Amino acid sequence: MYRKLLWPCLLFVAITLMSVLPAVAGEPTNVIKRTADKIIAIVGDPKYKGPEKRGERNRLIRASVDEIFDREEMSRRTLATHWSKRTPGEKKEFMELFEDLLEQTYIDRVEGYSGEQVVYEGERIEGDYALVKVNIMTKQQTKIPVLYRLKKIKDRGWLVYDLSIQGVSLINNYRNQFNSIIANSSFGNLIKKLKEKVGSYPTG
Amino acid sequence: MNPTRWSILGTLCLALSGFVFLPFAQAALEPNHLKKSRPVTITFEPGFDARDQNLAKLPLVQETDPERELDRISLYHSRKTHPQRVAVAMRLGTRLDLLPDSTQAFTGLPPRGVMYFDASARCENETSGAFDEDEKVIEEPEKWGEDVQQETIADPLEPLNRVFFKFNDKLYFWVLKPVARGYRFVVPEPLRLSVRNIFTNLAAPIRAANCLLQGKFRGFGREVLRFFVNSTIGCLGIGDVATLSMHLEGQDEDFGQTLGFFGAGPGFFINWPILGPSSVRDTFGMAGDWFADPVNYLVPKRWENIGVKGGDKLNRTSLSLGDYESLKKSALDPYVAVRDAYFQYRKNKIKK
Repeated sequence: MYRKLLWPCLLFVAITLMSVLPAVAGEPTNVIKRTADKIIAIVGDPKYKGPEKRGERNRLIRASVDEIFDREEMSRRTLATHWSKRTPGEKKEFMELFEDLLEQTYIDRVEGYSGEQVVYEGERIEGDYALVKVNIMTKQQTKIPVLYRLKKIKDRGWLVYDLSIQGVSLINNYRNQFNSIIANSSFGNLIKKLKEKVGSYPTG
Repeated sequence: MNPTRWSILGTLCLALSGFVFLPFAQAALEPNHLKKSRPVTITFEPGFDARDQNLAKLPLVQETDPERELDRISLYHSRKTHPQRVAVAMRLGTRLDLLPDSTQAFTGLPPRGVMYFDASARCENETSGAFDEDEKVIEEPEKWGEDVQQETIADPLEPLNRVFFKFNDKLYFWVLKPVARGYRFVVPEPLRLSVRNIFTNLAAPIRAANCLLQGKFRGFGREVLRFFVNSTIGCLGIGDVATLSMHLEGQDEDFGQTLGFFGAGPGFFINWPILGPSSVRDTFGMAGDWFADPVNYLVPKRWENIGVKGGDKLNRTSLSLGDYESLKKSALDPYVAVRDAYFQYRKNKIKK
């Protein structure tokens, strides 16, 4: 019964997504939209339904997110003052852990996806920086504004380095948490806590 | 007659008067230059000159892009603070229709979906006023990562706040969440949405008063209109007709934001037991809003009042179960995460 309904539902999602995209969109918006569409398609794909397919599905989502996240820029902005004090090895370790955390957070959010509408509001470009504004319309008729910040990187194109949900920047939020942890203990402790957090998620 | 009956009668009278005054209010709020000029259809022909068109007083800018050999016409809402580009059309021979309904004219919302382009036309970097003025593309371009000064909220009461944070956390997981889940199981979602809408509508005087205090007369007008429309056509607020069919969105203003508007900083962070994250400023804000909250006058008896407000809280919680959990799950230090999110959220609200 549910399987029968699946394809019409997917089609519906696809059509709504298409129809709410403004007639004209620039490159940064396209970057965001391509990834969002890809992930929605993966989440909705019956091939990846069920707990045993979870690992495979998460790997795919992770790869899609990976393509548009600028993990070095994100890490640098998150550690801020502490970034330059770290050795290349420490930077690398932090970058990997932080990326894992971001991706898992993202997967967590996507898992609850149930046909919310994504409305692309507009974009603003200034040199190598861009803003893309998106509204997510939930089923409960509430509007969640999301703002993506992108930077144009040579050879890789537009990459996301921060996103704000309802005016709360993810990078700022993590920077505050990490700052507080480093101030109260040490960078080593931050890494330890990151490892614990990343490890607490189901693997895959 | 007892006070409850009076208040019901009062609400009904107010609702009825809304019907009578609605058209007047609508006309009064509509900016002059938009009254007579729509729908506007401009057809671009070779040699088109914007100045020849009798487009009432719609400000119109014509630019020629020599590279792509096309004319670009921009129409702006002439709003004093930040002119919004209403539409951009190009390619000779294409048609530009300005079809926003009158509600958009007086709400000042950028009309959406009114741009008709030739397939080969491209819009320049900006899509019609979707952004606020302060949403800068480049925040702090230089020296990121070196010595960026993180904006935070002072937290001299951190040890105590953390105790209350833990208390609220347990209160949520042990009491509020299980009850809200049970409630969610028994009451279907449409009903819960209706309850939420009724309470949201009932709080309109708080929002309207704070719009007025901040000199946001347009917002005030919108809130008053919303209250009239939703209380009448929306059946005492059950349906949010104003948003759904008139594009009249709620203003979300409160007294804390009014204080912020007049330059009051947040002071320091206070995590109240039960009430949750707040600041010195917003605590005064909550107290101020209390006086404008109709629930306090409709249900003045203390325990009944607490019951009604608790019901509202329970109903809202049932609609957002899982939000707190995922925030907690993604945080390394949930307390700092909530504190910062609260700070950023409020700062962003005050800017608007």
